[in-house]
Amino acid sequence: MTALLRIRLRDTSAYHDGIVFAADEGSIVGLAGLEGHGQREFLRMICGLQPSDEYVAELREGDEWHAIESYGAAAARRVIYVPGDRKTEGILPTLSILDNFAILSYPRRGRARLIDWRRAEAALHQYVKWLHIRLAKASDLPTSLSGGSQQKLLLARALAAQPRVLLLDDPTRGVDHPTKLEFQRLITELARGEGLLVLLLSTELEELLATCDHCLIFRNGRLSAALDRSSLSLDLMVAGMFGQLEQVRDVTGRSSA
Amino acid sequence: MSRVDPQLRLSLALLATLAAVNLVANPARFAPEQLLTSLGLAAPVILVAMAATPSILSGSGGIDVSIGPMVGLLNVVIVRYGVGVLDAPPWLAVLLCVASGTALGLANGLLVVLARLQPIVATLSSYLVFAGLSVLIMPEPGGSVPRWMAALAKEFSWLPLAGVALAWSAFRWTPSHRDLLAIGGSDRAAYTAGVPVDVIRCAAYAMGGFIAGIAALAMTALIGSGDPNIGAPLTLKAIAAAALGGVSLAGGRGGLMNAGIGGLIVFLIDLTLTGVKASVFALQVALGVLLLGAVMSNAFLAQRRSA
Repeated sequence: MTALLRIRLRDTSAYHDGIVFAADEGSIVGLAGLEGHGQREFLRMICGLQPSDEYVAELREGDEWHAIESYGAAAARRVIYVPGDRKTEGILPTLSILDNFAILSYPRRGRARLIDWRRAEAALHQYVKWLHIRLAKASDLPTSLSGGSQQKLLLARALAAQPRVLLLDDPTRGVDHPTKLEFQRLITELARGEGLLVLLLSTELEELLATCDHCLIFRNGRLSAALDRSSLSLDLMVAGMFGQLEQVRDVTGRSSA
Repeated sequence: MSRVDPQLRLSLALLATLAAVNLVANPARFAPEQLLTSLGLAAPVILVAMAATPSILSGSGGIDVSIGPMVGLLNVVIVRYGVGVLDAPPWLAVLLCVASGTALGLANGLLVVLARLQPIVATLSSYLVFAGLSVLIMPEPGGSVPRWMAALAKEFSWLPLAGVALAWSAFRWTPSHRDLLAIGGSDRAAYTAGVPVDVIRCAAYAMGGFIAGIAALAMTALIGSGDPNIGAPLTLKAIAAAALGGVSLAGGRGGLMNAGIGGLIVFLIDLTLTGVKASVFALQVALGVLLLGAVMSNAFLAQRRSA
């Protein structure tokens, strides 16, 4: 299978093709590292939110690879980011739950630019059922929801935009344990069932261990190691986070040195 | 809109009280045959309050303090050039007013978005420019307006209000309306949700200018002439009215309906105090105290909402 997303070095002198990592659709890629070691910047680089001097993300469409250089371009190619800091970057505090859900999928181009409220609400209720969001009224403010439900609402917003690549920024932080397990089940379902490529940044190594096909380990602002399912273990991840592992190993099996 | 939010309920209660007081004290104003003329009297302040609203909704300290002098400038431009020089037919005069208003609003928007000036600084500069230009164009009050325009303050006084109400209702069905409230609530969250923050913010100031154009028509119709000093005092009334009607000065909450209710409240306070022959300064005091009350209750309600 050809990969869907690949990450290249901007400076290609170090590797013959500069590709440091490539991932297939239907897989789950974990991002791990000690707090502030570059994994969040890496995730935000992929969706064009935070351009990097070092890496560039490319998405395959047909036989062509397209670099993702801006947030708008990422969204247009259906690379959708779910923010981790839901209080300042996720939830729109003055809009209703319905608007918070639908804002990414309201019609903005073409002739039909009016909002179809009934359709938006029907779509919301599908996700409410699927994701088990506990919600009283769609016209309420999102601050009336629990933290876990707010996070699910953000996930529903992203899914309604029909992503090919879903970028999750620590979705289970500050969420109760049963909801955490629910999220892990959902992420697996999205990748295996719907064929999405999911990139999951998590501060919980157990979560990554339970869900990921590959795990990228970050240290000192750079991608420092890539582990695949067969070699994934808590010990190796911790070793990588503290810089005790070898150089990057390309998880698709191609040589990279 | 199924549920009435507490802020709006407070504004409506204030409006009802003032209406009742005036109905008793000043019944002639509310006689059926006088109603449209009274509406013509209230229309300018209602429309200016509406014109001040989109920029406030856009948040991040969004405010257009130039909105009063903008109406004043459009007033002297329409009387001096539209009526005086061009002798424009109605459609051209209306177009001139609305297009110039939109252009002035857009200029404010560009100052805020491109030059990254604080909205209060950017629009304060425009305030001075607009007020100065008004006097340069027409040093003394004067001029006259054609019969059709005067009718906009009498039998057709509903028309400018209905036009703005209709346009806003249509706008409320578009994603851009949600985008406006979204950036008012949080720039960062809106950007992450795919909202073109700068475009929407700039458009909000232009929209305010558009409504200011219609407010200028209503004002010109009412005073039947050009007056270079009519605009400046409108700014404070407009912002006070928007806040009294329940538009959150922090951005992201409220709409033109709130501004309209607030405008009516300010108009009725005006009417009440003129009825008892109080001075203009008493009006200022009353407005100041009410505004303080409105903003404080607004903050209180917002705190309760987030708790």
